[in-house]
Amino acid sequence: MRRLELAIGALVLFAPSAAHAFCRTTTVAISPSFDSTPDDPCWTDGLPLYWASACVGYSIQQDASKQVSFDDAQTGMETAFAQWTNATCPASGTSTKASIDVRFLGAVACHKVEYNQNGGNANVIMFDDDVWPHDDSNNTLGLTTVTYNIKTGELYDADMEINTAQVTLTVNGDVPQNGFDFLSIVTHESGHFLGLAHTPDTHATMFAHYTQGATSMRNLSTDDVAGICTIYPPDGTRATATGPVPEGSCDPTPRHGYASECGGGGGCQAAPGRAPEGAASFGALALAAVTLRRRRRGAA
Amino acid sequence: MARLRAFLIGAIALFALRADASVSFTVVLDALTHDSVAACLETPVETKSVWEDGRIVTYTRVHVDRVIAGSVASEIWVRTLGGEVGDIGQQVEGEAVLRAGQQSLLFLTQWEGSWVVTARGQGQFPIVRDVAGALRLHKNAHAGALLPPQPAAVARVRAATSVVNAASPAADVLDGKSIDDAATEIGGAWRRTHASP
Repeated sequence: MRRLELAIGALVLFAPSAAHAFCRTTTVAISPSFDSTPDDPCWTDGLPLYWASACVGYSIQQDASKQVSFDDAQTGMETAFAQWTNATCPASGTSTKASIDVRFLGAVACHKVEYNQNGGNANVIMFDDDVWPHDDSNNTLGLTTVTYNIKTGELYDADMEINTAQVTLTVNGDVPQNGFDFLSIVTHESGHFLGLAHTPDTHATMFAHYTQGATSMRNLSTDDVAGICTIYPPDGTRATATGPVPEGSCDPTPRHGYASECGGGGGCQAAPGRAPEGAASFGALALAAVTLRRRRRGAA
Repeated sequence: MARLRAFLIGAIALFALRADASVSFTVVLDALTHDSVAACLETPVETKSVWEDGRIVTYTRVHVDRVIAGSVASEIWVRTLGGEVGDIGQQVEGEAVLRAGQQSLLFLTQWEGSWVVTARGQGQFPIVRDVAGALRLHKNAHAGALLPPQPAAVARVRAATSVVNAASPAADVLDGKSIDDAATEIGGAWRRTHASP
């Protein structure tokens, strides 16, 4: 009997990881009465979400936060996304890297979640120090809003709001026992950004419960890696509901062009004094060229 | 003893496998009733999603089957974030999800002139039928990635009452309860948190 108990205990602890229980966000919101079980861990109604392009761009709202400076936010987001994009996948040909790249496109002025069907866009990470623009200001710390095509599952836009009025985030240094690790939270949210949902695997970054003071979510588990490598395998395809489809060429431009201002305006420019550096500078130039080309073509 | 241990291990496994969904503090019962204008048993009738200021919001017309606490009309429109318009879908994780015909107990408040679900997904308790056929409240397993209740919120509640459930997570208190038992529990919390006129 003792052996049986141990066996059950081991099963409880290790089965989710071994089985790679990662879940993907789908085009249909999860029913509130759905219960995850070992046999049926994920909500699968609808089509799984994915970014079609080999590259996705994101921006940070230029005011950042009193708690998290713009530079710290940028460093944190780059580190968080790098966890996912540098994941080592099972070999596929010569490549073992997940076929998705996430690029910082600079600061934007717009401080609200929006998707413009007829104008430029930005995938924005924004902080709310003073006024939370939703009803549940006392309880909500962060929201990620994703916009997609319901017929294909292709992601069009993703915005992340962080309610910095309610908690003190630890950005640098040791995280106190009752503290909240900024890097852990944004690594988790970055998983949502890329199309992953919560997993039943308690060891994973995409597990739904964050333990105060913990930093373990900064690093991906085997389950997280399996998730990102399934959606964006090294062979450059995308795992969709209808099977693998080739990724689009690398174009980090948000849908309908890059917009710094709300409403789709201020396209194709970084905010003053926040010019992206290094590769991102090249990205900004590339964006300018791509946007101009698209405008000339009158693309939808 | 061995059976008890096995049962506990199983119970822990079930807890571990519940995939709660966004980043929010867990709401305790009295905070949930305090922040609400009404609590009711409702059935969604129809939904309409529209673009509002660059984002999709959904208005769901719900029929109020039973008012549990507070005051609410027999039919109201409830606003939630996300939805579908044409080929475009939008999701905000942790938001309440109201589907036509799927009965829930909702905690409601008003925000910018609309009825909204208090504490987003945490204020929604779908009604499910148990193996014996009885209707029971079900904890919304997808209310966001949850943190423990805010210590300040718990302290406020404890300073006001010694009732244990008052400072317990609302989901833990109400999960699995029959509608009548839940109504009694909510009624008690309501009297503690809403002063008589």
